[in-house]
Amino acid sequence: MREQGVDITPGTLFDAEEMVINMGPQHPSTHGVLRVILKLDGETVKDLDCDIGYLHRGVEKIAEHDTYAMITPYWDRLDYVAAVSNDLCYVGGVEKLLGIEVPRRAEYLRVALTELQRIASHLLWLGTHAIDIGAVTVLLYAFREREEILKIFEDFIGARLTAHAFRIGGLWWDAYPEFEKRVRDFLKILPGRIDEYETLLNANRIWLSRTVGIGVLPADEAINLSLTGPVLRGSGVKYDLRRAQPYSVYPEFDFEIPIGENGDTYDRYLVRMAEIRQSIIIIEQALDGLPEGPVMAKVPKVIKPPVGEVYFGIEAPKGEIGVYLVSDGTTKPYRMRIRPPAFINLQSLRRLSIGHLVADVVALIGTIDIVLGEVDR
Amino acid sequence: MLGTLTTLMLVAPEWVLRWTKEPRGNAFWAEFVVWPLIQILIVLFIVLTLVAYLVYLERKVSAFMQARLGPMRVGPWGLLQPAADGLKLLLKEDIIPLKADKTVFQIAPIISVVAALVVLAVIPWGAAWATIANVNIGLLFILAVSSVGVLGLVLAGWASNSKYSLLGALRSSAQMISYEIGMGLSIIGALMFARTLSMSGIIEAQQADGVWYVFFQPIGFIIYLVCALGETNRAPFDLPEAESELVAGYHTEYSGFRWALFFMAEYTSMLVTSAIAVTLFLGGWSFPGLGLIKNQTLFVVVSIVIFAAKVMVLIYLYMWFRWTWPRYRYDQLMDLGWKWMIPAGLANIVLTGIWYVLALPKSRGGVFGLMQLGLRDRLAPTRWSGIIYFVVTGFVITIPIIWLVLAAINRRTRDFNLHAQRQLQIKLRAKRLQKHAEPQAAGEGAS
Amino acid sequence: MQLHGWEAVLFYVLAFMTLIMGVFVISARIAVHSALFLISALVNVALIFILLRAEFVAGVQILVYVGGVMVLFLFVIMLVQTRAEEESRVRLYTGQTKAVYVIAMLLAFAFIAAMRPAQSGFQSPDATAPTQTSADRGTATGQGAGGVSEDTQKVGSALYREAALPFEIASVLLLVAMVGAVMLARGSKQEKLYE
Repeated sequence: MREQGVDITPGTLFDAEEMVINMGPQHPSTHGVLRVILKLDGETVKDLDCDIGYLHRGVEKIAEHDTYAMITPYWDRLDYVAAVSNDLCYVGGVEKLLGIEVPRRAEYLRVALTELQRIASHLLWLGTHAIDIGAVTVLLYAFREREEILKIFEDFIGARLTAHAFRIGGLWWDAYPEFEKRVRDFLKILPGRIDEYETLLNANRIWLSRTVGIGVLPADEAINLSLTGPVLRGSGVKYDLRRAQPYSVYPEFDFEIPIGENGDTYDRYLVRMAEIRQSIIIIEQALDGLPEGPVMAKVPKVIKPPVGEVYFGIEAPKGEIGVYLVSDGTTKPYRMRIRPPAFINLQSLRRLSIGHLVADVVALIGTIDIVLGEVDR
Repeated sequence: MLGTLTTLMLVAPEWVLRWTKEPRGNAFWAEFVVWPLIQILIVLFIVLTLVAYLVYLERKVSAFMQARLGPMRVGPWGLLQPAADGLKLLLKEDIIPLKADKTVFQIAPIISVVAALVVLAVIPWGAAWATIANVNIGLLFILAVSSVGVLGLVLAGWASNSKYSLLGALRSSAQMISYEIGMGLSIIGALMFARTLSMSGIIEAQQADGVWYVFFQPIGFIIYLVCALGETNRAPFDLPEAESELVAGYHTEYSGFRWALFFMAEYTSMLVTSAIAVTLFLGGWSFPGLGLIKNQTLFVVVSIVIFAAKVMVLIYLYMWFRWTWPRYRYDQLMDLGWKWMIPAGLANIVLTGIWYVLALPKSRGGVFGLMQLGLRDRLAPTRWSGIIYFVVTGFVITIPIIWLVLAAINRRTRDFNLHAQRQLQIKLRAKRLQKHAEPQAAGEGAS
Repeated sequence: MQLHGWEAVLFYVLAFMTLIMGVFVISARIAVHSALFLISALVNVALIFILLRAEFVAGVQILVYVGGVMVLFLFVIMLVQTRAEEESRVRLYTGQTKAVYVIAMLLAFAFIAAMRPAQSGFQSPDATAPTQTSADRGTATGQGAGGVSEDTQKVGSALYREAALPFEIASVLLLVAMVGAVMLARGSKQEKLYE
């Protein structure tokens, strides 16, 4: 069902059985340039179609003409809210292709940064989700915490949002002297702040009315739709790439995978809040066990991987982000395919929204947690 | 002292009479034309400025709640921000949509604002001459004129010639009408004790009884507050005008000063509903210890300050609610209005009536005899025993009974018991998984 | 009752406004404008009520009639979009209009002629009402300021004491009508929703 614009029929507003309504691409709640075409019967959603591509920049095509090291910054711009973890995916893939072993200190620092980025991404998700449903103050509180993380990033990596954090073979710089202290100070105050958010929302009748039972996705359907990340875990499937297909040094850390029970919006909210707490635990373990040593492996000046192909996926805050690299022996990849979690998760929007009211669509877009940079690439 | 006050209820102060008697020598002209005109001008000026500064206050309050500062640049602490906003809005281009009905488009905001402002004439800003018009149907007048304000909304949505504005306006006005009913029902309990619709009379009654009616009618107060939130389209009931919703609100096509008029109407009605709550439930301008002031003018001035302070507390509450809570969906909001507020209001009236009749003096058929003749031959609760009786029945007996009534009516609503809902869903999901687990014993996905 | 001085002038102004608004109701082209003129007419009637010292009725007239009934009228008019039809109507005043005016005049004269002998029945028995001027009323501390208005008392006792049973029956009738309307308007889809 593809409809352009709205169909204004003469006669009464009661005549038309179904109304086609357009939401976006400029809309405060679609988290980017997303166009959603809704077919409504009164206020109930009968059908839904997403019109994406407004942010398509041809990253995969560009990658065929850039050397491996030049491609890394493009990955920041995919899920621009969680840039650091995107980098981990790509450089991990190239390192796998090259067969490089990254020094342990670099791996630990990578984990610390990635988990900090997970916290930052979930905080932004929380703020935007809450403001879509109406709780404006939570956005400002979440951004207050996110600001701290971005300041740490700025001092370490040099940029706040699209931080080109990792390089092929490790990190460019070692941690600056106060890095560990600042991160630990931040982690000390964060649990209290998360408790604040939970006090505001967890038991709030209005929040419960807007999220409990909205967008219930049973586990089998979630798996059939290839969902990953908190959307899948909210439905009760205990599948996290950090445990299922471990990468980096995650096997050395002890943390839990929170799952939800019902697969509704409230569960997905609880899962993400619990994930923030688990990330705090991981970062503390990473900082505790931070080994000494170099942060960069011996990487050839010109990166010419052997002919072959590799798939490397990690658990990004939004789901499984993966890179499929095909190398033909030259300095530029033959093909780079991005497995975008937001794009695949967005396909479940139709299944989630049908039967709900229009006002719920906004909550559902928020609960899937999409970033258009990733959806469109 | 109370008697003197009632005599002075509307009369202009002596200095005004002296000033106007000189040229005209006509008491009628001084009291009914000149003085009310002066009062009207003062009240209008103060209220309109106050409304502009309420917007500023909202921005500041929300900023401080959100760990930021709010407007700071225009003037010290941003105090000239309303002036800057007003100037900007006045200088904007006046856009009228092409096929819109021009006359109705221009009239709609005027209706809204006038309906909101006319009400200010009967609000008892303070004692004696601080009320412009002490009408003996004051409260009814306020409710009636507030309901005319709904018309402004509906016409604005229609005149914009946009299907979405129309739908948004109709939803907004349906919400306002529903909560108006709840408002009307919730105040009847307090009116039973006040025995008059006149605003000053209600305050006098609370003074004479010695207790604010919020202690007799806690549920009435709460219902009134919730309905006032719904009536003024404030959070958590502001879905029709939220930015993140699909159906645009009624004021989408309005820009410049016309939009400012709608905004002013909303804040003025916020002010008015707070003023009604203060008058009916919180004792208006009276305060224990106010009677100690002997100077008439000082008395009235202090009473104005007390009234303003109480109204500000309630307005702060409004703002607090807006920035803390998420918003209800439209069907949940109408559900709340019709199935929770109105039954609770009706039950409150019935129960208050029962306690009232039971407490009548034995000569009039009551059982407990806890009332006596008071001001203007009005039955009032006896000092302390009657008051304690009403307070106890109001809190201890009425609230549980109303809760039971509401639970009985709403027990099968989806949103009623969300905890039980979740448990039910968990059970259903477990059953579903069992169904799937049997045939796929070897499947590993959902573990 | 005989009105004197300013009150008489006010009455004539309000009556004239009501009648003019009434004429505009039927002569307006756009349905929403008709509804707006009707609202004006109703508000003028409420003002006349106030003039007759029936404040309660005036307040209720505005609250119920203007704030409730007319808003619902407007809802219906707006949902049935008649703009295209209205704008295409070219001939608003046909030959019938002249006939209407003549008949309306005849009706008015007939009405006035029939009312003359009945006017004596409208004189109120208490002689105190016409002698009370507005100046006296305002400054008195009696019934006016702060007390229960006579009008409210009269309406209240009429509805709830003297005619309590018909009032309750009328309420039940309205309730039945409301329930019936809701049942009829609810579509079959919504029926299934509630099962």
